[in-house]
Amino acid sequence: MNKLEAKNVNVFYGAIKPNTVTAFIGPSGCGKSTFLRLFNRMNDYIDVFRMNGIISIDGKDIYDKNIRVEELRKQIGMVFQKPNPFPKSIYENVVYGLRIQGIKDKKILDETVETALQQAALWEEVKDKLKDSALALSGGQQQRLCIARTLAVQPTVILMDEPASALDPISTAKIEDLIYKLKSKYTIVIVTHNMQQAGRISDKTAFFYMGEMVEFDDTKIIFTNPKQERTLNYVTGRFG
Amino acid sequence: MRTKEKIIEAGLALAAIITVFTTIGIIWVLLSQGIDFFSEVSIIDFLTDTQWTPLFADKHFGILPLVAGTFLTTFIAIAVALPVGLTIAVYLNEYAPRNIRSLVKPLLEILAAVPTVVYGFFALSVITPFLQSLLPGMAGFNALSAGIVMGIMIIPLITSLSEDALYAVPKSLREASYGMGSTRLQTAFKVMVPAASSGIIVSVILGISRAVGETMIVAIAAGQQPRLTINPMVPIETITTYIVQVSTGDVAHGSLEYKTIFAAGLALFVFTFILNNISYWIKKKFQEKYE
Amino acid sequence: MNSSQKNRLKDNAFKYFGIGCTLFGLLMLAIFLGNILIEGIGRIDWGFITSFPSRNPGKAGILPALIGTLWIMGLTAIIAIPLGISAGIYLEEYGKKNRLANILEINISNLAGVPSIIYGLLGLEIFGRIMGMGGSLLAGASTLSLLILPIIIVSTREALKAVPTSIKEASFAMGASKWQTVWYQLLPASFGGIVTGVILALSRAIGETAPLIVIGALAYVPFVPSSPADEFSVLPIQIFNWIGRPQKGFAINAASAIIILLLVTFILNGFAMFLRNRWQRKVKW
Repeated sequence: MNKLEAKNVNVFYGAIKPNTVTAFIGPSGCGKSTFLRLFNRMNDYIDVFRMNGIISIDGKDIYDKNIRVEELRKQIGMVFQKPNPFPKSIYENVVYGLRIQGIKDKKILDETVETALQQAALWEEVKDKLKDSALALSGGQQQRLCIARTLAVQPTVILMDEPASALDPISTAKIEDLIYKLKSKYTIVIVTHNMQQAGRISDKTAFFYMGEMVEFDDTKIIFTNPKQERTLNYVTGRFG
Repeated sequence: MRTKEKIIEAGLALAAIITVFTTIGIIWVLLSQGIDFFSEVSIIDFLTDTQWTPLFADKHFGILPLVAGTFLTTFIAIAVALPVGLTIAVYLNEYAPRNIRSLVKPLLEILAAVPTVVYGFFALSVITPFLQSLLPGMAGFNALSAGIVMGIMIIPLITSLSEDALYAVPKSLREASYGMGSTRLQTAFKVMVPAASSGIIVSVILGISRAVGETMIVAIAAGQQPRLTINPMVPIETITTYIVQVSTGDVAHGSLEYKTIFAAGLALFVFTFILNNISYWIKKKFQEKYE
Repeated sequence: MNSSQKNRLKDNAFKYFGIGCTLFGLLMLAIFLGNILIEGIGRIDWGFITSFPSRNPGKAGILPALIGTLWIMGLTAIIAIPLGISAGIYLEEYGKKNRLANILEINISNLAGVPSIIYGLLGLEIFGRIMGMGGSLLAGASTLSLLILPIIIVSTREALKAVPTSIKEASFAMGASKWQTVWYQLLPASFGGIVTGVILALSRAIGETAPLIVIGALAYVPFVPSSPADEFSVLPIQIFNWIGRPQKGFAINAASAIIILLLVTFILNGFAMFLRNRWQRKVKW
């Protein structure tokens, strides 16, 4: 069964399998971020937003009237381009998702913080200063905290919108490692403008150009033997 | 959970809608009492009679003397506030070193925070005696003193709004002007002020609106004698002062005298409503230009 | 003299003119405060604060007016703060797209420009007569609440607007509802700005005189109000009353009462400025 499916969304006919990393690549402004945000309905807040077509998770249309968008977003987490921790402590950042679900049990919260931070490979660095402000962390740490915050609500899918583009190379490498590890438990969709990154971490790659999805296939095929000439031109660096 | 969200949203919306009820309430109160008033006094007399004597035996209901008093004090106030306020804005934005700016701005805010009754006291006890020593024959209550102090009160308003407008002009424009060898003065008045003109106009209109509606300064220092004159040396009465005068006296509810304050209030509301809407409209247009 | 020299001269002349105008404003402020201090400071003592008004200026005090001002401040805060912040949240976070929001926005900008004395006429009819509150503290506080509502709404909106979108998005992406996002993220992050606006609005309410005169607040109150239904006076009205008396002694009383009024106003404003600076420094997104 397909984890995520999108039909008729402009020209995208594709399906994303569970426990894979799918990368969306393409020049800036090509619509890949907007497209990513369709999956957790973050575009709902844009006043002029309109969507035709169907996007479904586990076979259910996420734009159906009966879907609770809050529930959907607990299932489909998102990590943003710029680290955006809340102006609260590290601890409060991680448990935010639980708190808004009304979970108050201190034991559950404590356990979640440790598990999530460990999964996000941040535990060792922050375990002694959980009450410190999250804003005091470095950019790379902040981004891993944002990932931990997302993991804490136990989503099944994680959307990542250029999660490493604001980070230095070392932090980027850590995030990529992390994505690779998370793959065993989660379905990950990542937008990146960095083709090497897509090549390193993804199983499938979709190439977007001018608001259209040009091609979607195994990463290996996209990078070595794409069917579309535009894809070939882009991945070989002839434009973009 | 979903219901809770709905209830909260409805509650918040209700709070927002109170502002609409406020407006409706104001218009309804002014109109209902005003219509009552105009059923007894012809609207033509109201607009054309040159005397306003509702509290005397020989009653006349011509709003013109009150309007004249209001505009006379407003004119004097703007004549003080516009040149001084705009000059300070230009000086702070184009000339002043940072530390002066950060010192002067809070001080001007203090000037803006002073209650108007205090300004009234200042006008009556400092400015009027000072003017009387310069201009013999000046009455103890007069439009000039009240107008000048009202102008001082409005300076911070004009300065801060004009300064915001000047500050919003893209830096590249100023640099372009300097690049062509202009002095600061030329840059300020040939480039910056024209570019910020709509914001500056808004500040002036709001200043006028503020002066038209100002009550305590004129009630204390300008007198209570409705008079159709442009002589700033004699006592006059503004629309707002008249309302205060009636309110502090004993006037029976429902009497014609009682209704006159609503008719006067209606006239005042119309003036400020027009001014505020012009400024809102200019502001919206201006915002679009830069967006 | 060539034109470049002339321009430079003009440039410098304007600089000094600008300094002059700025000094004029500040000088006025200084004369103004100095004059009031010299006239009034000598009269302030415990008796002045704890006495009732009197026909004898030497015995008159501000007790009922001062207590009236505190009552008005408290009641106005209770009414206006929840309403203003709620309306601000609604306009900024909920009703963005629809026509109603547009009307509300124009309306609030208009209300902010309505002269305060008009609010007095509104209060006189609606609160005083139709709702039967007369010239009570509650009628006064309700009137002033409507008067300062636009200030609180606008500053609440500004403060909410200053919270970065990324925080809002992060919260939504975690599955938070709109209200949860407002309550857990936006309000804490904009708290400083909202409080600043509220304090400035209240300090405005304390200085207001005209609307309270119109609704029928009394100039002479020989008792201390003890419930919201009581009639009352406030400091500005007491000052206005004393200014209007011919005897010199009352002018001195007015100056002394002004010192007290300004003290309250400046403390509030200073506190607001302090909060604003601290808040601006703390928030570096």
